[in-house]
Amino acid sequence: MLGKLIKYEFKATSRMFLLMYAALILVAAINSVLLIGGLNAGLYTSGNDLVATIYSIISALAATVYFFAMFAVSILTFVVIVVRFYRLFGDEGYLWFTLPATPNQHLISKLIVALVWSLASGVVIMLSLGILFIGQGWVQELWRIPQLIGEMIAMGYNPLLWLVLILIMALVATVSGFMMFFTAIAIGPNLTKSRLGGSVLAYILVYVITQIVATIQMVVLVFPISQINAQSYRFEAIPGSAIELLAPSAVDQVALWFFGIFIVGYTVMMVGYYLVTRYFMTKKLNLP
Amino acid sequence: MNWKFQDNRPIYAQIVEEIQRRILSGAYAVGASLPSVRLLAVEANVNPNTMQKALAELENQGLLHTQRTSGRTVTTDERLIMDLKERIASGYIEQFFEGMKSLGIERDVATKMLMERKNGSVQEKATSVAVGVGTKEVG
Amino acid sequence: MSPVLQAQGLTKQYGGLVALNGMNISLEPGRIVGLLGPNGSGKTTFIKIAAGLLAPTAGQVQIGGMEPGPGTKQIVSYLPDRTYFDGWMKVRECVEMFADFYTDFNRNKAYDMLQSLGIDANKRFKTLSKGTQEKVQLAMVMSRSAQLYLLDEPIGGVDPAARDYILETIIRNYNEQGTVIISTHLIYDIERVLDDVIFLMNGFVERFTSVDQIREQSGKSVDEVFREAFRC
Repeated sequence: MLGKLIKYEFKATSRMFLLMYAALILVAAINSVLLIGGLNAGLYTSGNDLVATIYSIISALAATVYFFAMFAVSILTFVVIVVRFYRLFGDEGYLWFTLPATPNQHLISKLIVALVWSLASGVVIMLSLGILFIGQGWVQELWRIPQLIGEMIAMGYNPLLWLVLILIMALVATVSGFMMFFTAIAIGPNLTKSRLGGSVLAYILVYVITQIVATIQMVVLVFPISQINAQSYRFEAIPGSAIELLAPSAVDQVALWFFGIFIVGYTVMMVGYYLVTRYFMTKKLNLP
Repeated sequence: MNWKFQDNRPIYAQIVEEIQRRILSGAYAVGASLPSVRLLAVEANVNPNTMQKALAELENQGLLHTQRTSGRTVTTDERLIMDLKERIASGYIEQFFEGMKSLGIERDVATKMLMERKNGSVQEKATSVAVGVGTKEVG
Repeated sequence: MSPVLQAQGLTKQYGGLVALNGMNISLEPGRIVGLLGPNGSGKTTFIKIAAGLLAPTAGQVQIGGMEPGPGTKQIVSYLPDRTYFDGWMKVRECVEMFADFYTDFNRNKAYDMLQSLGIDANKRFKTLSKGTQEKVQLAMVMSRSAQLYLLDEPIGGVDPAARDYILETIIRNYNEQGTVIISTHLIYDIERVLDDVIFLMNGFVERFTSVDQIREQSGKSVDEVFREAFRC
């Protein structure tokens, strides 16, 4: 059942996303061509001022379009997913909520699809950047990364830890971003007569709560860190234990602590929002 | 083709009468097969359960039979059909006399009027044939 | 035979407004039941609860012995009084979606119905007229072999020809072992199709009886009896 729901979610959203991605790649490619062409032909530094000026203007315009497109893809990814969830609580809800699935399954399917598209958008944006600068020889530079990592490990740092922590944090931040909207949308119809108004109101509520929790997180974070002398701080860890392996240097340990608190805090909050959303979808469903 | 029903009586009883009429008129021939309950229900625009009830009643009366393989058929018992015809016919006759009585016309007078009407209509036909259509008959 | 639907003390309150007030009913399979009542009597509320779209404030309802949930949604075919397909979907995709989610769905039947309506299955839902959209949804719902059909105002606001078509579709296609609940305030047009009627007034069952009984006992149509009962 969950698989089917996910399948239909993708069916309903893929056209929009694929179009967006294609447009972004196209704009990146155009920019790339202009860049390479311009550089090769020396148009930027050409003695002929008029040609150089015109070319610069065109390139600048193209670059603006590209950045706008990149921005648009990020925003639209979010908007498409949130709007789709919002429509679930309108007339379309009469179709979806009478399918033989639990509200939980609906929620999870929407979250999974949201994650996948977010990831895809991230990858496509990276790809478009790669295409843009393809003429600048970054592909060769790629081999230097493992080398760099090896060097850092030798110096006693664990850059992989940072990488993993950043990825997890991105994941958590993305999901909680969606979750806040989903919760607000699920609560909304119960607050006021106007579904939209209620959802907006609920979002403000959710946002305020999130900020409070984030602030508490910061307090928890800052206090111990202010006690740390980064140079000399060490966990009272058993030599050879997991902590020492993961975070060999003081910098790593600070990172672990910092990101760790953030991740744990937001995860707990998300679980809370998830449960609230599920409750409202099950017991407080109020279709128009 | 919408079967017409009255409001004040159960529909199944009215269906029974309609089917009886169709048997008598030959629309449903002797021994003929009837459509399925559901198709009849669709045709009459009624609930299949109601149609089922009516058909069961007609089976009770012996006018319909259920064959295991071929569904429902009209009876081949011609005498039964004649009996039905006579019963309904006398019903109409009684209705006629009731109606006339409510006008204050007794049975004998009513019968005389009936005969005159019957003879008169024969004459009416003869006259109109001779003189042409649209002639108003006198008497 | 076990009842297909049972409700005990079913109550639904929206803030100060009481939509259902201790409704009790037990419905046997194989019947076409009319849910009759003036606007605001709780008809749609009851149907939404039975369909699993609304949680009651108090009381219970069981369908096929189960509380409303994915189990009941497998055996309940629900037609709301609004369009619920995404306008961008093609009719064909609507059919395939139903086939995918409902094991009791007969896609051939659905395609046949669409064909006899002259609807091109490749058209997008939003390009159809409102009346046609409603007919498509009806075709979907009636192509399921459900144990309980919930039809919320299927003939409200349609012309007589469409109304006859809708009633005919219901009679022709419903699962005879199942029960059909038709909620409406237009009794006269559908009386001949009903086995039983529920008079819903102020959120509880004022009367539950058969059409035949009403006609035999009162010598009037259900429509007339209803008007008298609810005259105020």
